[in-house]
Amino acid sequence: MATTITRENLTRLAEQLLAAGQRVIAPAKAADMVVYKAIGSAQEMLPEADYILPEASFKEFLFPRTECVLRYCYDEYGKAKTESPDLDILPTQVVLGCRPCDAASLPMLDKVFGWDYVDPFYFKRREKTTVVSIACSRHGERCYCTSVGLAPDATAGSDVLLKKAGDRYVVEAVTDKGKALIEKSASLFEKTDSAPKTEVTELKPAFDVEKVKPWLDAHFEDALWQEIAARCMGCGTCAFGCPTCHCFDIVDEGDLKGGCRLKNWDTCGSALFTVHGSGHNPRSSQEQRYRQRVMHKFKYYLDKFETRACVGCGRCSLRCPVGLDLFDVLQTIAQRQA
Amino acid sequence: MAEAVEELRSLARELLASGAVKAVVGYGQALLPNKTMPVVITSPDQADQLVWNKFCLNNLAVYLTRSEVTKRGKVAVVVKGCDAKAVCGLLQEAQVARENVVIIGMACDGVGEPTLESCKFCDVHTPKLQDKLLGKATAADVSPTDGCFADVAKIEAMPVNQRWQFWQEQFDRCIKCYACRQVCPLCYCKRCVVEKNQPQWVPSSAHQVGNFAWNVIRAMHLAGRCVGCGACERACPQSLPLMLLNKKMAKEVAAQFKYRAGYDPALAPAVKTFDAQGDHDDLFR
Repeated sequence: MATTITRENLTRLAEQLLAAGQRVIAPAKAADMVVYKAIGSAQEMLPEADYILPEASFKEFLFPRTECVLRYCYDEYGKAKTESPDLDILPTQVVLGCRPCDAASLPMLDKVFGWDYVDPFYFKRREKTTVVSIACSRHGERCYCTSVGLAPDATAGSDVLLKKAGDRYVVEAVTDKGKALIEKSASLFEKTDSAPKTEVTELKPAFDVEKVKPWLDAHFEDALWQEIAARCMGCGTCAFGCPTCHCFDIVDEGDLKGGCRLKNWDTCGSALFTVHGSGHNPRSSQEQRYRQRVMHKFKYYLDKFETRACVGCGRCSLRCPVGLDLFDVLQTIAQRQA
Repeated sequence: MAEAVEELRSLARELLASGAVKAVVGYGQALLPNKTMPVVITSPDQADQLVWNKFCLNNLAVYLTRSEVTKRGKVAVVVKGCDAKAVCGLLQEAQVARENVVIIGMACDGVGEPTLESCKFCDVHTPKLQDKLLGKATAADVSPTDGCFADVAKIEAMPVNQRWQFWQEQFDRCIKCYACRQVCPLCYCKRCVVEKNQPQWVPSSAHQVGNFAWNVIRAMHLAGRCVGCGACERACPQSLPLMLLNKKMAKEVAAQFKYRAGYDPALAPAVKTFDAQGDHDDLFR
């Protein structure tokens, strides 16, 4: 017994969700790229066969690029008044048609946003989000999800997983939230007696990721860092496209009457990322900053949360303007640890 | 064009072995197909890492102001004609000492697959500024004509509110990653204006005001200095048409100051000079 949904009905599902006032986030066109976008109509949603991986992750819908976390103003006596945004008015949203690697970033982000302070700006959005992933029937030239313990049909972070089977998808309800979404639009789904054959791409692991942390544990100082990082420009292209990068900067924008405190995406690659008020910068060279990026994702996150902070989507390697290739770095490290 | 690679490798070997330079910044093969990447080689046996082909897109002049590279001492840099114009700009603005750099000029017939639009309007197939010229260009130099500003003219022809709409749509995609700034050889400020926060002159946030402010200010700061290499637009992960802004500024500077950036290291930069006799004084009307 299996549940399926046709491609046409997937588009109808988008229509129904939009009509019900939900925000629908789906792969769509923007300029010459395929991106995750809050679509205005179901027609904007691209057929899954048209792309392998959208340009960037969908994290901006749970962790916005810039977000007001506090508003302040002064009353006529010059006394400050502050106000937190009402998070209950945030829309419920469905990510319709993301890749399993992108969905798998959510359990990873949950760790840091739920660590010493439970971040309501992230978790309120997380509560209101249902994730419907589509397993990959093709993989990109820099995909390496299977090398970091994931798979083209992994269910981590997904509420529903769809797998391509000809002109339809086999539907797997992964969580209660996913079951609820299916039940609400039950007429769009079909039940079949036998599960149709699904097309999921094969991707062999390219390196033994278990070798990476032991090497990192023992090689904080190593000539490798200088070799790799000499070309790094310290921009935010990798961090901002990455599904699991989560660092942010808090800034105040306002005038004598009032303003707001904003939470903005930040990148550890930036020269000023760790500058202290005193002027001292513990990571003053690009080698130190690049080392920290790899350490954070493949050592510190494991030390703290027993989870890696990488889903193997390969975006950082694809987007880097100077050809820095994390996949290559990891492969090199794993080989050295052999 | 690609035949010059062997000459390049032996030149690099020679420069490093003799100690004439401590590092050579050139192009190396990237792991992904049809892609090269910047490499910094420091010993003669690494010279075989250097490649030279139509996928050598990066402007390596940007490394001449990165301390990670320059701290080693005198550096050789592999440049195309457009990149050499950026080196010229750095020399004009005293960011690089002429005696601290060996400029390896590569004759170039255009890069990119398909060939970049900007290469079709190139008049520096043979780099004008170099210490050593390798290879021979077969593509003819094209004098800058209105042709290269055709896309700018399209925007200029739009009524103001349509232009505003157009740019709003473009800047909505900006994520303030600053890849444009980081890959630009002429964006060398140790502390960029957007990083000054006492007060915060330019919002660092990626909202509409912050995105407009950033992109317009960068274009203004590059007016008369940008050499049109296109590295910013290629680096942008959000497909912003940054060269439209830079070409607009270049067009204005050429018309008002009769100056094009990157051609003569002896000239003072246009925005740095005031000629009481010659300069148009229509600033105050």
